[in-house]
Amino acid sequence: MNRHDIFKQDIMSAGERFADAFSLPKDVVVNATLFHMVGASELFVENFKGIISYTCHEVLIKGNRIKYCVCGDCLTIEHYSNEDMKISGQIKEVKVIRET
Amino acid sequence: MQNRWIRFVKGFLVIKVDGDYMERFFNMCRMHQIDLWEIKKEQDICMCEAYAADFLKMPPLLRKTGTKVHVVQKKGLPFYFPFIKKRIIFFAGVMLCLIMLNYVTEYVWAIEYVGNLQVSDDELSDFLEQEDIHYGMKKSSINCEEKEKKLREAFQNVTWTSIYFEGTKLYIEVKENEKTEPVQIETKGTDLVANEAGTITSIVTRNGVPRVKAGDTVEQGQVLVSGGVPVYDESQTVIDYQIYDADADIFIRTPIEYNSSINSGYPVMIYTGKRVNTGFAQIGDYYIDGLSLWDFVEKHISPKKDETLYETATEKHQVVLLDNIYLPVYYGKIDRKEYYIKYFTYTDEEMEHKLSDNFEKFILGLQQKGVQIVEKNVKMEKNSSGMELNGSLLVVKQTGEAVDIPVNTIQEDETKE
Repeated sequence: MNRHDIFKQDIMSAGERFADAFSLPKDVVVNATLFHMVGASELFVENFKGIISYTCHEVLIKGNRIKYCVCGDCLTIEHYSNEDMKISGQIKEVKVIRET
Repeated sequence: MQNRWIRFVKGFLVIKVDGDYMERFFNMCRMHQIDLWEIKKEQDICMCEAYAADFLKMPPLLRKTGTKVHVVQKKGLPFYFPFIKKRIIFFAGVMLCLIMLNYVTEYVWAIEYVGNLQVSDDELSDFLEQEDIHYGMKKSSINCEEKEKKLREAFQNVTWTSIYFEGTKLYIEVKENEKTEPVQIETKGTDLVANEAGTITSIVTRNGVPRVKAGDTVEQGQVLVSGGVPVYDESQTVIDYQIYDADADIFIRTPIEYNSSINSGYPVMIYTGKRVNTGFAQIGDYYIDGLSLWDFVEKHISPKKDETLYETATEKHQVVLLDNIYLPVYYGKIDRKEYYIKYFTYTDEEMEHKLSDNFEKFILGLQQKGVQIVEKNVKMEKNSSGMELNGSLLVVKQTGEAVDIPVNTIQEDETKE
């Protein structure tokens, strides 16, 4: 086991490493939230648990043990369904907030 | 994500969501398979859109989350149904019209001939009649390719044909052979005979044997130039006859009789000034016009003893859609004028004038035909019914009518020789 593998073991969970080893999609294996951004104005979010708070400057999304914060101006939820959501507006920042 | 057209068809509502736990409400909607879109937050109020059918699922969620919802606007097709329901007869009429139009356009309502110069329209119409192609027949029952072939077979000078439809109009397009070679008809030979009795003034023969010379007196039907040209041998004996079409310029001096009479009484159409302008409509075989109604009303208001005479002019138009779709619907106007006939009497001067005019026209007609007037004697007489003009003219005119050479003539000639 070289130094690179030890480092990887520290930051990645077992599920992630398993997905990595077998080349499987991580969002399916570890139930990770999937973000798909088109430019700086459209953001597609899949595999999330819900919205924690929504204002026109900030959308706080709940993922699997992680929260995501989409910051910007004139943020609109163009589409909100069981499968996915689409946020549009002037997106400035997407932050990951880890739960301690 | 669903298309906006699907949303429009299903029908959706623009709603205003108000409350402290709007995010919870959205999440609960999501969990209950209620789609939301266009979520916009302005201060404390949030606007969003949802399907009308899903709106009925919302009240329990609203109670749980303590939010309030107001419908701002209703959009989509289901919300137009009450509008359509109120005007059901109009929409039914539109639908019926479209169905009728679709039905009617499956038939032929007009026929046009294109490109025919030598073959007349009447000949093509006769051909179509033979082939049982007529107005009002179904387009699908016409086998265009087969008819094209038959058309080429029926007319020898037609080199190319095309039968096709444009809308409800049937086009018969033909191309004719412009470089038609003169048809070689085997000549049987013709003689030139005198059309009338008289004296020959001049004769110039181009083809055939002249039988008369200038100054000869001939009877009607007498052979002037013979088409049978004898062939002699060295001993000047006729051994054979070559048959030609006799051709010659022959002028004859002959008398012509001219008789013309005029009655002193003559009828004149006098319009009473009573005029009926009305319209008519025809759909297929069903015909309706305003005249029958007019006559019915007139008959009951002012019955007439005498039979009234009318002059009727009809203007007929066919309904055409988009320049090509000819419908079996006709309309037009009828102009009916009432008249009666009154008899007037000519004076002697008027009768003389009329007869002279007619005679002048007759003379002019002869001169235009190249007839020279040598002598004329005209006498005008008054009789019991009116006046008559008797004239005898002596004219010089061209004569010679081509007739087939009788078979026995040559044989007789041979025996005479």
